[in-house]
Amino acid sequence: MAKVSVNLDDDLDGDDSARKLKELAAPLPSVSKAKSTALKDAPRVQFSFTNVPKPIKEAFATEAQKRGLTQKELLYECLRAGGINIPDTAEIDGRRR
Amino acid sequence: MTQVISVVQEKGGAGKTTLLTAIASLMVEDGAKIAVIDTDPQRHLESWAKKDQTSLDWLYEEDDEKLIPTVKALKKADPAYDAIFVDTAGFKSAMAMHAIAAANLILIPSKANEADAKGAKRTFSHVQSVAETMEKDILALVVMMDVDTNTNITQAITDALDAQKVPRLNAMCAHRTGFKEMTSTGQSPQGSARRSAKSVLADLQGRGLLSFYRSGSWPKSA
Repeated sequence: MAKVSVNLDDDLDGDDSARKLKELAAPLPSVSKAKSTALKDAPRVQFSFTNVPKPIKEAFATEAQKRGLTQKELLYECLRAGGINIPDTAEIDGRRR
Repeated sequence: MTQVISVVQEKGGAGKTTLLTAIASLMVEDGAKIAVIDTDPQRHLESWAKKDQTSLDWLYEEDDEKLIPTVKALKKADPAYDAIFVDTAGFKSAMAMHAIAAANLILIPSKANEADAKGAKRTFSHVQSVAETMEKDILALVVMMDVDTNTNITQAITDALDAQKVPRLNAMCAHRTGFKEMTSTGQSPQGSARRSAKSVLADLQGRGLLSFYRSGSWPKSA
């Protein structure tokens, strides 16, 4: 029928059963955690473009400011919207390695 | 009330996605409102659902810690789903643990060979330990898949499971080409595969394990 999406913002994560489950699952392999770890530990590189029309660059910067994001975070958001699976920024933040 | 059914088996290739798609699609034909969640990175369930030949909703969830919140959110859907099925990858993973904890009913597929039966027994023990830790009743049943009935190996495997007190359905999904064709068609099983899958569904129904068939929403005349 349709691919569905759900809003998880109102989920309560801190109950006792959630804690127990996290403890049980902690030693087991996790595909999502493996991906996050791989991204967190990946080497960092410079990422830039030339010949971008200035209004587009400015629109990008304005949009990031409007959303309260850095430009890198906005880039990740754009990629996620395009269907590329990128974990939350906090999970792949190289400064937390 | 929405029932959550997870299909779990530590060993790969035992027929998890086949069992799920067969049961879910037959329930849809009986009038059930169904959602399926694919958590297997191979995304075979999603590929089947995307063919849009069966009227159900689907999503892919890769993050194990988001599975239960996702199930909770789907349970709030209006109109409510009669059942939510969760498919898992064939190894003992954090995601399988969450899929077990999210469910009221676990189906453990097993082909009639020793490796699958051992995987089914380990998976059953795993379900029991999760249920105990979570202080929750979670019923788990093995479903024999891809079997050639009346063969020595099928008898030996079912005897071994019975001896280990691993509960299983009496009905089995037989070795039928129709199950393989489902992957390509996106439909419910056809031909003799359909009859075989229906016998499994009827066994579940007869044991009162599928709440949809106990509810008023099932048109019994259909």
